[in-house]
Amino acid sequence: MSDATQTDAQAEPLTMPRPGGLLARRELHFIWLLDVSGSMNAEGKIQALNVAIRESIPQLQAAARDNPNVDVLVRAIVFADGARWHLEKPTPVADLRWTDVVAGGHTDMAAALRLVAQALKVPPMPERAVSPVLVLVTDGHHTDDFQAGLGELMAERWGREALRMAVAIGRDVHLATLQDFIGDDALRPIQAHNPEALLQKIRWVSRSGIESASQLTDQAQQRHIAQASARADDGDLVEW
Amino acid sequence: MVPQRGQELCWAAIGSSVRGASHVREDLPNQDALLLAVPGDAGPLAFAAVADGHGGARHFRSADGSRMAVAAARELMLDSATALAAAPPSQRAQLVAVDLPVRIVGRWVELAREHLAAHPITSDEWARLGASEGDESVALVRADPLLAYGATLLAALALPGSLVLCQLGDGDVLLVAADGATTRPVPRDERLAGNFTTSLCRAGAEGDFRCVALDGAAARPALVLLSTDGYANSFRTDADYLKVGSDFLALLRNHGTASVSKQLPGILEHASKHGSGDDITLALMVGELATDAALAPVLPQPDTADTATPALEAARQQIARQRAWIIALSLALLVSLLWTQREHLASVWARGGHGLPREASGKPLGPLPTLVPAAEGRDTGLAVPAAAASQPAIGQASLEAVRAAPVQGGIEVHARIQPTATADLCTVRATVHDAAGHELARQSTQLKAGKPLDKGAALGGIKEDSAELPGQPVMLLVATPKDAAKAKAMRVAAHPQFAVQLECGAQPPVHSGLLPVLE
Repeated sequence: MSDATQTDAQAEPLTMPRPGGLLARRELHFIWLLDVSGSMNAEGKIQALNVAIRESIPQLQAAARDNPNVDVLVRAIVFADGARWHLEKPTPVADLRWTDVVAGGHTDMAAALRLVAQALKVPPMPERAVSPVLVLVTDGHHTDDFQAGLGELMAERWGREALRMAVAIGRDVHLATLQDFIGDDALRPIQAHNPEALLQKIRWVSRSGIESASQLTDQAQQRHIAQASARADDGDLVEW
Repeated sequence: MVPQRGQELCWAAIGSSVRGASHVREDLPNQDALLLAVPGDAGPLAFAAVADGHGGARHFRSADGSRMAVAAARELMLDSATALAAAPPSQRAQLVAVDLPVRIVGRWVELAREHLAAHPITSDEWARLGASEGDESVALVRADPLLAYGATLLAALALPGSLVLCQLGDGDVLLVAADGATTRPVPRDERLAGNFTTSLCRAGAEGDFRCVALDGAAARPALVLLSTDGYANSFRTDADYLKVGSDFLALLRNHGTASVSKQLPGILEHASKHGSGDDITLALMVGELATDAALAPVLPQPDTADTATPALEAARQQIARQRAWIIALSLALLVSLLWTQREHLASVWARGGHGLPREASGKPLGPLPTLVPAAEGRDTGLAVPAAAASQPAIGQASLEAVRAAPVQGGIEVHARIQPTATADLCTVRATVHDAAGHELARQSTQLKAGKPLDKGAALGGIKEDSAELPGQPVMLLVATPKDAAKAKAMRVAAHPQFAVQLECGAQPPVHSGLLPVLE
């Protein structure tokens, strides 16, 4: 007996209606979580951050072009005294325009995690999507209950499934907190000690985040992929 | 008409596996696998399986792993068919939930280890893994090389009065009732979200299986649909995906199984391109209620369960009456044919019947005719039991009492044809295959209004010398090919098989399955 398999057969032109409802590419939600506390005003960090994010938009667009089976949608949250949406509407990467953020206040990181946790509920998030990408950028210690905020994020399915990446600006960051946010030692926080490095790292997380999350692999492997493509710290120039 | 308890359904199986749009872009292979088997003359036994080899660098042999998954499922599930069919429901449920997963995983591990021993991981494979995912991944795969073969598995086995469904990992199993109502019979695994999936390569995989044995009316859907997750992920919402159940049922009724089978690659490629980008593999086990032509105009909606219209019910009753008539005729044909061919059948069973599924009595169920894939220009479609019992054809066309024997210059294929009353031109096509199912030679002739066209006489002709059975006798001489290897494979000692197709007008073709050539 031989069994029948029909693999990669030559497709005939379709002559009958296609079964099923609407087809759609899966959404990839890319969300910045940006620290705009008062300390970001020091030494031009907030300006460097604005430049880096604006300059990373072509990277996001290129990564989206390279992964045409996902729809990349970008949002941004800022946190200082509490947290709020800086870019609330999930914005197609092609339409993305960056409005500068301004700094001032505390570092209420947990508030940002709570806000993003709400956004990752289903609905408004779709049942079907690729893993969201959350990029946390900070220069200091949290000033609210970080673990409580992280707990709320991890209580959501898409929060747990998210590829969580972190960029530490300067040497005052509590890296263990960022590692907790990432949730896996396979992927480390990215450190940036000067404006040029910040630009490079923000560009890198933009591209790598989308490319890793677009892979048809599970979360742990995505972290490995992201880490494997991470650049070593390049710059002895330490300004921050 | 809903099939009655004890009434056996005959199944066909079609399917397709296409390389994902993103795999084409990235020059990756199709990592899915598909396997179908329809023991056509053995009664209501059918098997289908799909598997999804994981993406990701560390699963660099997942295309092999998915093929091993469907092969292991086929072997273990068909081997268990007799025991499962004979077991009382509670024992069957236990066998399916516990015993079957352990055996499938065990066999998959065995196959993967054999492959690994025969093909050790190369330095190139290690280097690519290191470059893609880093040293930590390399260490993980070195510690557990079967990670390289990781795959999911979805399998269905139709038994007399029972339907066994097994799933490990993501993907979808759908049941479609005759009215189009579409359900998920396998319990949901809450852990499956995003890109995470359980897998054959995970420790304790047997515990991650979700297997169910359905009995009674639940075991007699019009359609069983198995798909890898690339298909569902191509739709906007789950409701958009679930609509494929009633839509495929409508397509099968309106266009026939063979036509739908031919369109599957195009349907799936389109979905991948405009949806997930992933490989997509789809298997459809088609019950009789899915292909009743009298139901063709009906386009059922999923939310209309148990609200069949009077017209639909009348059509079903008409089909039931037709079916009863045809079954009675078929039984007469079966007895007659078995009696006339008793010596041939005895010799075939003695030669090749070992290892085939057996009934509870231990009697061989006979060879398992399979689909002939559409690739390489071969016919495709429904495997219809034709050697012994006849199958009510779609519309009025039918194909009965098929047999083949070697003669000087080739193989004579005899069939009895009842062309459709509504199409005046029919084509009968006979193909001969080697033991692996590859086509060696073919021959065809045309019938017009029940009579042969003269121009076909040189290719095939009509014999009127055995007219005691109803239907029109047709003989086609499939000439031995000039190619020496093919000619050798056509010899009876090489166990060639043959199949017959009848195609009338716009009606869907009726096929015999692959059957042995008798001396």
